Amino acid sequence: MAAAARLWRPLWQVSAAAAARACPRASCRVSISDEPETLYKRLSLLVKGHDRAVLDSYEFFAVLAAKELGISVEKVHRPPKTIERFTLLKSVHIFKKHRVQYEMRTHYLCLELKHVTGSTAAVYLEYVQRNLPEGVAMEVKKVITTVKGIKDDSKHLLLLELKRTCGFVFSPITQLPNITYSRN
Amino acid sequence: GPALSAFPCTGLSPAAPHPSCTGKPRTGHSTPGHVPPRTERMAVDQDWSSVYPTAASFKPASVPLPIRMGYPVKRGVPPPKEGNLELIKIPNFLHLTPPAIRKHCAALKDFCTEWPSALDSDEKCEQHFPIEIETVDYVSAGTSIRNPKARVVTLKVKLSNLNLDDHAKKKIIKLVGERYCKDTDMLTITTDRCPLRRQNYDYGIHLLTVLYHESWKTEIWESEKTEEDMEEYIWENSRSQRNALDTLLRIKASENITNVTKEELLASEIVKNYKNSVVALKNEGETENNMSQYKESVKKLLNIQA
Repeated sequence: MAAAARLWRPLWQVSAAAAARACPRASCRVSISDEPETLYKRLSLLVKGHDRAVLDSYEFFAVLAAKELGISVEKVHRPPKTIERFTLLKSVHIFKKHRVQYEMRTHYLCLELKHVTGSTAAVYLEYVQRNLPEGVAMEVKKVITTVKGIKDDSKHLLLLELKRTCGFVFSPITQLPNITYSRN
Repeated sequence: GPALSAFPCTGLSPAAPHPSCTGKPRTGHSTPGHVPPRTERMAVDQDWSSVYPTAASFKPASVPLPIRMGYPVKRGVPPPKEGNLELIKIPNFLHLTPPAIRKHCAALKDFCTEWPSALDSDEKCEQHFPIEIETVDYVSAGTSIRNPKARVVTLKVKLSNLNLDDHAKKKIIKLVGERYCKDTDMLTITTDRCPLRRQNYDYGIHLLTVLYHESWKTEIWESEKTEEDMEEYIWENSRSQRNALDTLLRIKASENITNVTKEELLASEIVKNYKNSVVALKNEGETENNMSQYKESVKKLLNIQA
């Protein structure tokens, strides 16, 4: 995302150098744009790793970061591990009866976050992904809930005609300011 | 000497010294021993986030903890932290202690926005924003940051939120086929035919638009819809209605009452009961309730007391 691309410079400076003193210059880097905000109904982070202890530490970090940034954590659960095994010949030439077996264990950790705005999601995901330990992978499933329209014959973008609410063209809820970050 | 301490000894080959060390101690150190580790000069209440500000490998001289890791030798304890490869290999979280996380989040909090309080429940989200779009992002270590699965976009709508009349709803269900789930009333469209996510999203919205408009149109050939194409059983103008009316008319004729008309018979209570029971049987299937209801209605229709 364009917003995320612009985040990396100030974030790097903040975490590396001035994290100790709450940098007063950070607030002047925040600029508010008029772009409407995407709203994520659910953010589902699936973290995969080979080591259970590393995932446990990562869970502590991700949950604490979510709490500090004000994101509600709906559920944290650990799906069962998968083991992929394969058998190879032990020797380079002949000796078919002697084999060696290898396995790869993948442990999973699933974090479900609820009701996150686009800016908050960009901040949280970038923070959490930059601190992903080596050898750990992540899949983020985002469920966006935003009004979209359907073109009718007159080629204008209309809202869906909901049965209960009469069609209003742009709901005021979608027009939240999107917070972007500038380089100065 | 001091040159040796710059390269943490891994314990792999303790006998061979590093080629770049000359063995001559630098002036200023009286003994050719090593410099005392930094841990001895650390205060208990120091600022740990300045020791490990970013992710770094484990440095035994910088971490003042008596950690032991590894498989113990026979009748012994796990090896100490000095020269311990296991401690260096495993990713550590020394740069992410709770105070450090709190400092980071305090600095990041300015960039976050609040969720609108008007949408605090799932039902309200669905009421105002009926379409849900699901996308997946992938992060992993590798030579490339791209993942071909990232272009898949899934659209989910409840058909009750779309403005469809009876014919339109049946038509859209027929058009869409397997993508509609009757239990949750959810239409799921998954698109991945385009190379970019944005293109797949646009295509998904286009599909939804086209389905919506097509289902409202009535084609000429739709009038040829036969009984096999019907989704549910309709009693009017069916064989069951004709048979029931014929039977009742013949019963009345045999009793010599000739002045009953079809509309009167249709409107009578007995025929309505029979109609309800037959419709329930055909649409919902055979349950105890349905079968007993059918039995009662047939008994009343044919005037059998048993």
